[in-house]
Amino acid sequence: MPRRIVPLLLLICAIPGASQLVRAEELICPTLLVSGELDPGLTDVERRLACGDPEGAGTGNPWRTVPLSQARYHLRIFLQQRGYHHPKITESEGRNILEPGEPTRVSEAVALDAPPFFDLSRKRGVAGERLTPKLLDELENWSVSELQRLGYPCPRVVARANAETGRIELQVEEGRAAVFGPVSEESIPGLRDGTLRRYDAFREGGPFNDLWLKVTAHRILLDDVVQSAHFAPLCEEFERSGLPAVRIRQETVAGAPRLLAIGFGLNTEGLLLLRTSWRNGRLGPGASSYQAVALGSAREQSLSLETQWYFRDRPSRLRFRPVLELRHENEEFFEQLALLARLTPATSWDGDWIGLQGGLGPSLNFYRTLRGAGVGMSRFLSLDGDLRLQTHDFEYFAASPRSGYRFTLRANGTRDGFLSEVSAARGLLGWELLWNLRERDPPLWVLGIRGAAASTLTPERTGAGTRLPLDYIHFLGGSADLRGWGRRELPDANGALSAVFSDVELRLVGQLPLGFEPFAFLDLGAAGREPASLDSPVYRSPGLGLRWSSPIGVFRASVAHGFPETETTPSHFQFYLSYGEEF
Amino acid sequence: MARKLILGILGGLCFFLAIALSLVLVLATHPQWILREPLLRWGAGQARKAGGPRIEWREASVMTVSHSLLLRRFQVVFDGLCVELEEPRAKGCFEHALVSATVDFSKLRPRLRELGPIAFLGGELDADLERSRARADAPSPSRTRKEAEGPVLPKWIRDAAIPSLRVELRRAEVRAAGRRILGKASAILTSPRGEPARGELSTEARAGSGKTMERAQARLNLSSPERLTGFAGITFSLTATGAGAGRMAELSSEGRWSGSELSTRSRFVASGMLPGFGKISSVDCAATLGRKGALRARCPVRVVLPVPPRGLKPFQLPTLTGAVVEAELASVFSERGPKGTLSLELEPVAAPLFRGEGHGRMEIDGEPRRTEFAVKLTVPSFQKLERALRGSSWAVPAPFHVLGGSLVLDAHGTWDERRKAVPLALETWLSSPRQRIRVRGEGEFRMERPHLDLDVDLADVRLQLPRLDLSEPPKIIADQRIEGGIPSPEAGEARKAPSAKAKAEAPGMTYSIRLRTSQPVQLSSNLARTPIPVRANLRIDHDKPPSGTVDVEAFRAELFRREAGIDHVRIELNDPPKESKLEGKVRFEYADYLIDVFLLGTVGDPRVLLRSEPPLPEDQLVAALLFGAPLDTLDPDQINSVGSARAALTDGALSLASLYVLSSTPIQSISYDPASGIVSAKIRLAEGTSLNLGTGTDRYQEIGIRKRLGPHWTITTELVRPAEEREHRVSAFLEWALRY
Repeated sequence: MPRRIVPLLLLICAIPGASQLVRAEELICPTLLVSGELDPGLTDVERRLACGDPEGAGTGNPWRTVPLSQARYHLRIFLQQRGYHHPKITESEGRNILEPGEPTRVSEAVALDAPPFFDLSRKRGVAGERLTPKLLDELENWSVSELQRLGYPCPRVVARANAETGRIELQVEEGRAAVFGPVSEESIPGLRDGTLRRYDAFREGGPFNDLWLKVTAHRILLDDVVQSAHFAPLCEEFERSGLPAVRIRQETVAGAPRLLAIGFGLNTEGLLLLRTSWRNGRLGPGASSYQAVALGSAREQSLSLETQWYFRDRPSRLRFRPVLELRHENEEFFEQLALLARLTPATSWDGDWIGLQGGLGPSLNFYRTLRGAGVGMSRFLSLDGDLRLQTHDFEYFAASPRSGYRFTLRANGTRDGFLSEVSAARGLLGWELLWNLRERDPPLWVLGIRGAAASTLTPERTGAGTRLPLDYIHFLGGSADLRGWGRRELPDANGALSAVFSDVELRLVGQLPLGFEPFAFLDLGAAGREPASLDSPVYRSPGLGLRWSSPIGVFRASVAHGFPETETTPSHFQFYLSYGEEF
Repeated sequence: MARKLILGILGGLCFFLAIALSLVLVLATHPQWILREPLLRWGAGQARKAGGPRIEWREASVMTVSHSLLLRRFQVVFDGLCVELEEPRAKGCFEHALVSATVDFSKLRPRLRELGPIAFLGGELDADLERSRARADAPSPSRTRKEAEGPVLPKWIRDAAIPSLRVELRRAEVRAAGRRILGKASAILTSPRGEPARGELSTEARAGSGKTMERAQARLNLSSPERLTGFAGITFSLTATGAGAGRMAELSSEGRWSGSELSTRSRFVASGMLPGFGKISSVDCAATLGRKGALRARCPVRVVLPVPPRGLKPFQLPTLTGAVVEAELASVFSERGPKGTLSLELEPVAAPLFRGEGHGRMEIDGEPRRTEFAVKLTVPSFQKLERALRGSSWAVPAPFHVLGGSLVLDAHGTWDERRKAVPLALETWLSSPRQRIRVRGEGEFRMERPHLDLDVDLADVRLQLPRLDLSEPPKIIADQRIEGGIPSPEAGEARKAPSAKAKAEAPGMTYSIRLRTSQPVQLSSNLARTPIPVRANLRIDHDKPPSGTVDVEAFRAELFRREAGIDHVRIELNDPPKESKLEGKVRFEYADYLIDVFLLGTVGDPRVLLRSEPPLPEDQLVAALLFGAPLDTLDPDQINSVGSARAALTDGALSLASLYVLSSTPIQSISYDPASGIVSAKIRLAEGTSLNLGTGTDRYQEIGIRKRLGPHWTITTELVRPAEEREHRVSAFLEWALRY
């Protein structure tokens, strides 16, 4: 069933319109006739400089008229901005007649004196594009970013172009390659110096890559520790010193630590949500945090309290993560009241290009099923562990996946009689691998493989009267795994104790207008009613889809057919329209 | 004894006188005994030793004819006579030469009664003035002033009758000024006793070949009503023509030589003599050359001015002008040179668009001592000029095209011979209802290597800038990174500035202009409430970028949505311009504190330093400036913007123009990427309008998006990952948020 996300579309902001295209022949003003296509047309200020400003305030306005020769001077510059380098401007009967001609297209772009592994051909959207100053700016900036990604913190690139040949030359001065030096940070009131180092996606002495600085800043903002964070290499000092390490400057704006938010909205399941949250992102000198969130919808109401407690008296990545959540769910097949309490010590580690984070701790969960299978009270004390290994580029491009990989390992264990009513151990290994084929930037083809293998080891079985909580039962089907089937449609309503799936998706980027990206995929999966075993059949879901990156997030639509048909589940087409999901 | 001695002396004297008298008698009665070829050769040798020319001949014979006892006629006939000069280096040879002279010995001092007939026939001349000039340029011993009589003949010859003179130069070759000139000449003068004298001199010369061939001809007719005596009392007419290699000259002159004074009236026309100029002519050029080299001349001249380039047609330049050249000189043949005055009076030029007039006077004493001149060029009506230029490539650009008034370029004063400089003055009186340009300039123009040296004072300048829109600032200078696009400009359009090196190597005029402002220039813009006062103290040289300072003086303006006091902004220009030093201060007055914004660094890399009284943290100051509120009261987007702006300011990622845009526009949000230097600002002019203050694109996309709708209101999208890692759940909230 398609998710009802249409109301969300109403929240999308309008894209600002561009200057109007001039086609064929148009009298822009009494002194300017454009003959031919001019795209985009002149802006208001440009018109004033090309035609005069009769609406200018007051008498004696010296810009009321502009001499035709001066207007021609301005027009040539305006047209240069649009890539028209050979316009014909003639004067006839007291007016300029502008024939823009054909815009000059870039024939080739070459980098001069660039380091050998700097590959300008990776940059898409150059050859065949209009030769404009903006494109030169873009190429200069892309080259600088690329060189900074390749380990040169302070490169300089100057572009030159020939309007006759359409050739662009980039004169590259990459400077010295560097490793990360120490971070020069300014003190944040109330925080211990060095506290923010726990978010570093780089290590001192590792090869410089400016993307890792952005990942670091983003992690800080995501955790709401400060309101603004910027990192930049100190180039003047680096160039002067001759040292191999470049010092990094960290600038932050702390802002107020407490945030109270009250709001309403919609989620991808089409529910109206009310949410109130209170958060303090800077508790104590170690910048611990505390958050309370109350969420209410027709199907679910919850209150959660969560703390990230950095308990050590020096900057550290080690923390306690206590969580207390009270949740009421009123789904179609069941109604449940749950109280979840977790205390998880957690930490993280970052290498030169990869990061690891994980935690392990007890979780005490109370469930009271009010309706549906297993009515009554149940409790579980489990040991929960999670481990996530992901590359920095996967993290950096999370909102527009294109490269890197991530592996996730989760494990839960509970034992009957030890504050639990059932013995069960659940393991899940997930993976997601992305390749930017031919390494273009922005990518042209993105190939992704994702999958997961999960199993619950328990003497219990699924079905009526099972004491297993829903989290320990596995389902397939849905936009997250097998897209040819309905959500949680497989293997049947009872679920399974084992499940494996793997999806392959190929997405075409940047070729369709308005940011639409088509993709094709094949999802494979299987489920097993027994622990650590899989039953026939192997489910298959070939399909096609369309991704749209809107101003408020990503929408994805897909249509797939599920194979094969089973006794309980007929084969059918499945359509999904999702919001916020990425492959 | 004494008597004997006296008698002896007297006897000796008498003997000596008797011998001398005998010799004189012998010379008088039988001069052929003494005047023989050996004596001539001896005399030629003595003349050579005295620094005179080398005179040689193959054979010579001397004949003496006695008209009476004391009236003798000598006739010398040479074969193969050659005369060679060292300076100038020249050699002339004649196959035959005849020189006759009749001498009267009746007086104690012999007197030349008749000189002639004289004939030099079959002559050839070879002169090399190049080598002569090279020697002349070498330092020579200082000359003492020696008055020369000029054209006045020596007294011993002045009264001698000249019965006939004939000179035939059948071939002459002269090398001068890198050229080889070939020619021939002949002169015949007959003056029979009791009849009017007649004479004719004709010459022909040519140089070069083919299209560059230059030819010149001259014919001089002489006449005298009486028998010619000592060349005095001659009237003459001279016609001369020359042409070739694009040049032409014709001279027609009549005159009289009285023996002591030469007076002429001439007319001439010449073209191609001065590059670019047309004909130069005079119909009545009178000159008198008298004793002791006294020269008086008055010569009205008409000059056809150079045809202006096609592009200058709108200026309606005059095609003809006139001048009167007058000279009053003495000692023109003196070795030290002439002494007197030379003056030039230009006829007033009244072109449709401008007027011109001028005069000059040069005092000469051997060489030019003092030259006074005054030239004035006036554009009486700037609007008329603007109308004439309208539609041409010289059209006066906005906002100057609405100005009215006059322009005056004045050059007057004394010519500095040592520096070869002309004083100049420039003045403008231009105004329109909103604008005014009063400019005064003084300086000089050096002629030797053309150089303009000018001090310009922008005494009162008020200009109106075009109406701009901060949301779409236009480009007004072509992007120089793209070559081959904007064509080689018409005048007044975009010109690609030549490099400093190219300028230095250019052989054209050089200039050095110092520009200052005795009153600040007032620039009015729709972006500023009051005119912006700007002072400049600049030096603009032809071979390097402008240097000096530009100061924006104190004024009040609305910045960051409140009235601010711009204390000053100073730019010290450097090469390259981006390295120009920047220094400025802007003060904002809040209820509880003062914020001073200091601009430092360079134009290409401006740095902003914030200070306050009492001292506040920098992020608080940025928050106050950008959003007019304490940091604690801002929403998350605004706080993030504060951080971005602060980082961008620290990195100098904002250009001066961007800083101005930021300070003049209600800011919605700012984002900054330190690595790429990209700054993007959303301004509140139009909802959703995004202004990229940096350049390039940002590759980073945030996870989860928060779009600010207004104070405290946002749309937030969140990706929620429940316990099951494979599931996504995304929610979008319209939230009211308060950070405290």
